This record gives sequence, C-alpha cells and structure tokens, in this order.
Amino acid sequence: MNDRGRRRFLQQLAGLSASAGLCGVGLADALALGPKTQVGLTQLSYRGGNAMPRVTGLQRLAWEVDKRTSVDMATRGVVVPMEDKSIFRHPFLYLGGDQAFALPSSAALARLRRFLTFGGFLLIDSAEARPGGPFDLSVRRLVKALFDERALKKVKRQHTLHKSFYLLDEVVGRVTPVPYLEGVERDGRMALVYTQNDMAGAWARDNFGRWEYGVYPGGAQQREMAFRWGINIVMYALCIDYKADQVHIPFILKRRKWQVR
Amino acid sequence: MTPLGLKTDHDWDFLLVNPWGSTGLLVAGIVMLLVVTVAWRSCRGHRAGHRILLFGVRIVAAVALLLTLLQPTLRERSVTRSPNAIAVLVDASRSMGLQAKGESSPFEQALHLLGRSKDRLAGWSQKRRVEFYTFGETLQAHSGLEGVKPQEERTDVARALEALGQRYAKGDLAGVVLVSDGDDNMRLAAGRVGFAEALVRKLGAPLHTVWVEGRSFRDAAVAEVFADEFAFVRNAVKVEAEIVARGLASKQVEVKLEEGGKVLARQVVQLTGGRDRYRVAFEFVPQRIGTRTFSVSIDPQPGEVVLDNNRQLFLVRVIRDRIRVLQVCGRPSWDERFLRRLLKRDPNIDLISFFILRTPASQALVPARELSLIPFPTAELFEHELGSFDLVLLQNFNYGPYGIGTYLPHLRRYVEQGGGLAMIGGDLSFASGGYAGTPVGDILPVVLRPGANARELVETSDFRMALTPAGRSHPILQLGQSARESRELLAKLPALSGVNRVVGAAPGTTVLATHPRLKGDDGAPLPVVATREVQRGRTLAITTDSLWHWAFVAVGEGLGRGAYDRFWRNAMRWLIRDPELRYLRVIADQRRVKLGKKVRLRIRAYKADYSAAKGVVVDCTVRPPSPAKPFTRQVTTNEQGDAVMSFPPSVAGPYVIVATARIEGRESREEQTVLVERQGRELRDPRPRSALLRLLASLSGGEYLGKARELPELSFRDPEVLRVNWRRDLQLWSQWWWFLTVVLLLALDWLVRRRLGHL
Repeated sequence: MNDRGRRRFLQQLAGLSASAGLCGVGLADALALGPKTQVGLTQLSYRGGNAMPRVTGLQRLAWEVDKRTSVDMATRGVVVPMEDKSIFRHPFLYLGGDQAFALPSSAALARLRRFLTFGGFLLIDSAEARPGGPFDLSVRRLVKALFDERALKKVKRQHTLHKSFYLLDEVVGRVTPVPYLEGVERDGRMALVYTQNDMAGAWARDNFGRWEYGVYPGGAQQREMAFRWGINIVMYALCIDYKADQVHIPFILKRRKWQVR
Repeated sequence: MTPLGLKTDHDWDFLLVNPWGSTGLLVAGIVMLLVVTVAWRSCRGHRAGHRILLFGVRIVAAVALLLTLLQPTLRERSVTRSPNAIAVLVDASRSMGLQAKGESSPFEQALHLLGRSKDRLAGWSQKRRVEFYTFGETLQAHSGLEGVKPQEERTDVARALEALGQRYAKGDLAGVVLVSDGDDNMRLAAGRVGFAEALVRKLGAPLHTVWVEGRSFRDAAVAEVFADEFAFVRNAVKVEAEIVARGLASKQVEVKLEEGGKVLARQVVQLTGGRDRYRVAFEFVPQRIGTRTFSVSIDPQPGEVVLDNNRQLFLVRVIRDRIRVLQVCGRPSWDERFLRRLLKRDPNIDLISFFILRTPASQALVPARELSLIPFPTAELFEHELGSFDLVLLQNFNYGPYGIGTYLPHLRRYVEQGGGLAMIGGDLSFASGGYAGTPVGDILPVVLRPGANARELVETSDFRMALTPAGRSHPILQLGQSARESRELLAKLPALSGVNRVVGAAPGTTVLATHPRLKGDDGAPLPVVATREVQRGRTLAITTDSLWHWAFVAVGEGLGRGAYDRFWRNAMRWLIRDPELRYLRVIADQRRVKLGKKVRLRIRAYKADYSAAKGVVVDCTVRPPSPAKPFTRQVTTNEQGDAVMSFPPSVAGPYVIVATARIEGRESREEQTVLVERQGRELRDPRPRSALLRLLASLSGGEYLGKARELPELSFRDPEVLRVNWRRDLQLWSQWWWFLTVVLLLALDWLVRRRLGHL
C-alpha cells in the first residue's frame, strides 16, 4: 500500500471506529463524577456579527477528542454569552465568526482578561479565512482591548502546541491562508490561540455524517490534519506544557523524523 | 621589711626649685639669649682659638648664673614601698600533658624547671612576692604547683594575661614568667602582632618566656572539617578536612568519611617530610533526610602521642531541596490541569508527571511515530525510582489497563517506609479504579466497596464539604489565617461536583471533611477528605475530582485561588511529614553542646487534629556514645502539650534521643541527634611552637629564655612608693662652694676679656 492508499484506509477506519464509539461516550457519561467534571468546549456568543458560522464543528471536535484520546469530553454543545459571569465554569472557550463583531462591555472585558490570566483558555477561529478581513480586525481589536496590541504573537514551531498529542507542523483548517497560529502568552502558557484557517469548517459534519464544507487544497488529508490540530489545542489547554517535560523530549525528537507533513 | 610585708627605702632626687615661676624663667631665657648674642658678636675679629675661649667662658658663666637663679636642690627621701609581684604562669592545658614513651611531658618539664630554680625564686621573694598561676581556658592561682594536672581544654594566653592585668593594681606587677608549649589555640593562635602588643602594653610589665615541649612529638590529626550545616537530600555534598601530620615518616595514610560505622568515601594522603598540613576533599550523596552524624578519621599511627584527634565528628542536617512529586493521572481533566499548574509553578517542587493521553480503548488510527506519546515507564516509576519520590499523587488513575497491578505492593511498601500517597477522585479512581482489596486500597484512609456496580460507585450531585471537628484544627484545611477564617472561607468557596462513594473511613483514619448529605455504610457521613498514618508513611484521600472549582470558579466569584493553593500546599507538607507537622516533636535547644553543659530538649505532642495533646507520657531513650550506657527517661506533657527533658552528658560524641509516645492510641516516634563536644579545641591540632613566646617577650621588654633548664636573674619593674616617711632637701645654690664657683667663672670672663682687649 502506498502512502496515499494507507492514509485513505486509515481515514476509512477512523470513520468506522467513530461510529462504533458512540456507545462508548454514553458509558463514559454514566461513569464520570457528573457532567461538570467532563471537559467541555464552550462556544462564546457575542453582540453583532455571526458567532456560530460552523454550528456542528465544535461538537464534532469534542467527539473526536473523546474517541481518539483518554479525555472524557462533554459532547453536548454549550453556548455562553461573552458578557456572562458563568464563563469561569467553562475553562475552554471557543470564539468563532466570519464578520465584524462588537467589543463587549468593559466589565466583560475585565472578566475575560481575568479568565485568561487565571487559567482559562480561549480558541479564536476565523471562518472568514481572510487575513485583514472584518472578523480578523475585530479579533485584533478584542486582543488589544484585553491586553495590548503586541500581545498577539506568532506561535513558534517549537511550541508545545505542535506536539501536545500529535506531532504537527503547518497549521491547517478548512483553508490554509495563514500556516501558523498566533497566541497570547500569559504566565508561561498560551492563554489565547488564534487561527485564521477556519478549523471548525473542517470539523463540521451534519447529523447524516456528511462533511459540511469542502477542505482546500488538501482534501481529506487536510481535514484529518485539522482534526489533529483541534485535538492538540484541546490537549494543550488541558495539559499545558506537559509535552515539554524533559522526559518526553528524546521520544519526540526521534519521531519528528517520521511525522506526516 | 615590715611585718606587713612593706619595705622601707631611701631615694635621692635632683630638682630645680625655680621660685620665679614661668615668667621669671622666660625673662631669664631672653636675657641668656641676649648675652649669648652679644658675646658672639663681640668675638668677631678674633682668631678662632680666642673666639672659642671668649664665647665658651661667657656661656658657662651665664649658665652657672642661670642655674643659681633656678635654685638647684638635692632631695633625699625615706619611702615605704609595697613589694610587687612576680607572676609565674604555667600552661596547664591538655597539650602540656602530652607525653611520648620514655619522655617527660612539657608540664613535667615546667615543674622540673621551677624545681631547679628554687633558689632563684627564693631570692626574688626577698624583694617581691612570687605568685604561682596555671592557665588554660581560665587563670587559676596556686600556692604551689604540686598535684596540678594539665587538663584545661583550651590554651588562651591572652585571657590569662588579661586576668593577670585585672588581678594586679597598676604597678603592682613586677613581671611575668610564662612557661608554656606556646600552643595557643584561641585569640593568639594566629600570632597577631598588633593584638599581642596591645595586650602586653596593658599589662605594663616585662614578660619573660620559657618554652617547654616534648622532644619526639608525633601526631596525626583531623584538625578541621569544613562542611555545611545543611545539605540537600540526594544532592552531592562536599566535605573538606584538614589533616595534620607531625613527626611522622613519609608514608601513605588513609582518611575516611563515615556515617554510623559505614565508610562513605576514602582518600589516601601521601605524607612528606617537608609538610605538616594536607587538605582532603570528599563527596557523597545523602539518601535520607534528618540530622545525621558523620565523621572524618585517620587511622592511629605508630608512636602517635594523641589519639583523640584522629577522628572528628560533625552534624549535617539533611533537608529536602525540592519535594519530588510523581503525578500519575488517568486522563487529562481540569482537575489535573489546575493541580499540575500549581505544582509546576512551585519552585520547591520537582514534578514528574505521567498522564494517560490515550487508553487501549481509544482509536489508534495513526502510527505511533505521528504521535508525541511515550511509553508508560511503569517499572522505572513504580519499582526502580519510586523511593526517590517524596510524594505520589494518583489522580483519577486506574492501574488495570497498564499492567501496574504487580507494582501495587511496591506502592504500599513505599508508603509504609515513609512515602506519601494521595488518591484523588474521579471515575477511574478508588473503587472505580479497581483498588478495592488491593495493597494500595488497604492503606487508603477510606474503605472501598469491592465489586460493586459501576453506577453505585459515584454520586454526581453538587455539594459543599462539611468540616469535621478534626478538620477544624488539622493543618490541611487551614485555608485562612485562623480556624474561624478557614471555616468561613470554606463555606464561601464554590460547590464541588460529584464524589466517589466509599464504604466509610478506614480504621485509624482522621476524617477532615465529609459530604453534607451522603452517608457511608456505617451510617457516618461520607468522607471527602481523609488522612491516615500507615506505619512511617501517610495517605490522603480526596473523593472528588472537582477541587479545581476552588482554583478557577472561585476566581470568577471574586475569591481568588488562594484557598486551593493553600489546601494543596498544606496537604503536601502533611503527606511528606514536614517536621513542622509531626505529631511528636523533639526540639533541641542546641544541636552542639559542650561537655559539662546540659543537653536540653523540648518535647511537644499533638493530637491528630494538631491540638495540644496534654498528659501524654513520652519515653525518651538516650543513646549516648560508648562507653556511656543508654538510659530512658519519662516525661509527661503539660496543658500546652509540652514537656522538657534534660541530662548532663558524660562523654563527648553523638547522642541520639528517641522519643516515643502513644497519642490517641497511635504510636508516634521522633528522633533527634545532639553532638556533645569537648570544651575546647586543645588537642584538635596540638602544635608546640615558640614563636608566640618570642613575640610576647620582645614586645614587653622581657627575655625569651628558650628551653631554659633554670631561671636566670631577670629584670622586673620596681615596686611603687606607698608612703614618704621623711624628706630632706640640700639646696645646692645656697652652698658657699656654689657661690665661689659662680664668682670665679664671672671673674674668669672678666679676666679673659681684659687680656684680649675688650675692657
């Protein structure tokens, strides 16, 4: 079997396993110490713009994380307004959109700043796939209001985000206009991660099991890599720099030679 | 000599009465100057011989006249003096007693010297008091030196001279005869000239010194050990020692670093003729914390005079550098995430984390090389390296799928031997993790429900934990500044979510917090936080995986994460048996005590909730160094849980004090080591040397007599006048011969001037 054939086979196998794993989720739900102890990916809603351009993307990512890793994920989607005080019950927040959006109130900004400083994680995913577009400008305005203009920096290739579960290089989503992540580091960890590649677009799948959006230019392989990026981001949010611990380094360096690009 | 020991004497003084005062003297001086000037000017034009004659006669005549005006007088006095003292100062330090086979010791030599100088001393005592002293650490007066043994633990010449200075009033000390081997080991050890000079100036009397020493002095000594008082466990410790070898042939000797008879390191030193000091360095890695006694020693050498100094003990308090924590987590979760973050941020914690990121049930659609996952090093962690951790955290971790079942007995043994183990709840923990009936399950503070239906093992509702009476005073739940503040804070903290259901508390467990509604099988509230002592180790059970609410949700509610941080820091300190959190503590007033002083220990007993345990009978077994015999004393704690125990040590060396008590039915044991040392450092590095004696003699105007066999005649200060009995003045200026001399000189001046044509 050549490389392409092998990958296709693995993807088919993934699809099969995914269907078979549904009952596994149910069992995990029953065993966990309540839904609050599960890891949830919470969507942020906001005033103006379109907060949920990829409705099913986040749920699908949660499902994949649950299947592929040991993390006990809450697969039911939760949406929390950016202005809501309850954001502290959801340490992983997702902010998506494809249009300009309004800045939240100063109280909400202060709360979000505190959320990020004291351990919360925010993934911002642009569905407009256009650097410099209205959503991108809104995101940068938000980051400036939260921290400062220079806080958002390109995430280096050596960062733990590239190796928190899979060994990954270029950042991909439904599209690939920006092959890297940007992020805001707080207290030695990445508290905010921003991608302009519409990752949720690659993750989104309808109730009939069909992918909602085509992935360009890499097709199925790129979609798989988008999932891997999603999983890495979730793993990073949960384990922070675990993969930077000294004990992991020799293994990771060795395997870097073999990774799929 | 009077019966009181006073002595009457005559003395003569020449003095100028000068009744004209200073004004008269000034006028006379000016007149003299004029006379000299005029005389000089008048000499000009004469030959040199005539000029000298003219000027000389004029000057002599003028001086004679001036002297007459000043009224010279010869005064005779009859005075009574108190005879001053000659202090014979003999070194009685232990080094003076060192004796090679067939030779007399320096102290015996000193006695022989004084014996041979009996007549000289008797002669001195005709005019002065001759008083005998010995010195070492202090000055001792003696009527004679018979029966005196050289046993002082220090040689402090400066202190002896200072004491002499205080003992004698000014001028009452005629001089000092100092007999010593010169081995000062206190302030004059370094031979500081400035200090010695100030010392003898203050004494104000000549210091005559005699040097005595053993002829064939042989010694090998561990003169000094350079080691830090603190060391970090499992970190290399450097110890240096100064070895002194005197009078020994060129050879190799072995120097050992030992602990409790076990040799930790060896070094070979090549002795050479030209050197007497050698530096050796050791390195070792202490494996256990606590106050430990080490020694550096050198084997006895043939013909060696002192064996006491061949070994030197020292204490090192081995402490943790950082707490080594092993965090094993069954799956990434927010509870894991906030705990890891806390542990990683703490500079005192050395964290090794292992998280199960993928279970055997997870889909494995990609080859391992595309993943960053590493094999779970079970044997390394749970067999080889387990003992190196201070604390193991099993966080929502089920051992079954990873083949760790065979290592559970290791974990149990690790705890029994002093390790700390915390099990944190979750759907993979406690009974849900399959620990019921296992070696680990048996040492947990909670009894697990074996073989129950998975759904019966967890409860998912929200709750706020309720403090038990023990939890109110236990250090783990001291989240605020006071017990009351802690209670109030706990009531305000965000609710927790879900617990692992257990049968109840295990025997010997201290339950600190319970579920407010759920009960165990015994009808008692379900434990949420419980602690247990397992032989030398400790275990902690937290039956929920939602403590992270205190770290993050609390921040959203404006409470901050301080309570969470304090809870875990307290829990870790308790689990690793931080000395401050032991139930029985033995605190030595001093870890190093001089022989002759008492060893004093304070004993404190605490209940499991850390309130004072009063009326506790504590057995204190003292294990002294040989040849002293071990003994046991019983003390009982007072209302504050305190007791004091003290004893006078009989020999130098390490004393291990083991305190045992039964507090609330639980055996507690605590050990403390106190090092009893000889008073001084007399025999640590005995060095007979004459340099100091030479220095003192030369600075004071005395004589250095070297190794004199007998005392020669020596110079001493005169005694001070105590009383003038009568006085007679002979006024020289009013004598006829004085006048005649003055008149003749004036006449001679007139005659010379006339003959040379001036008149």
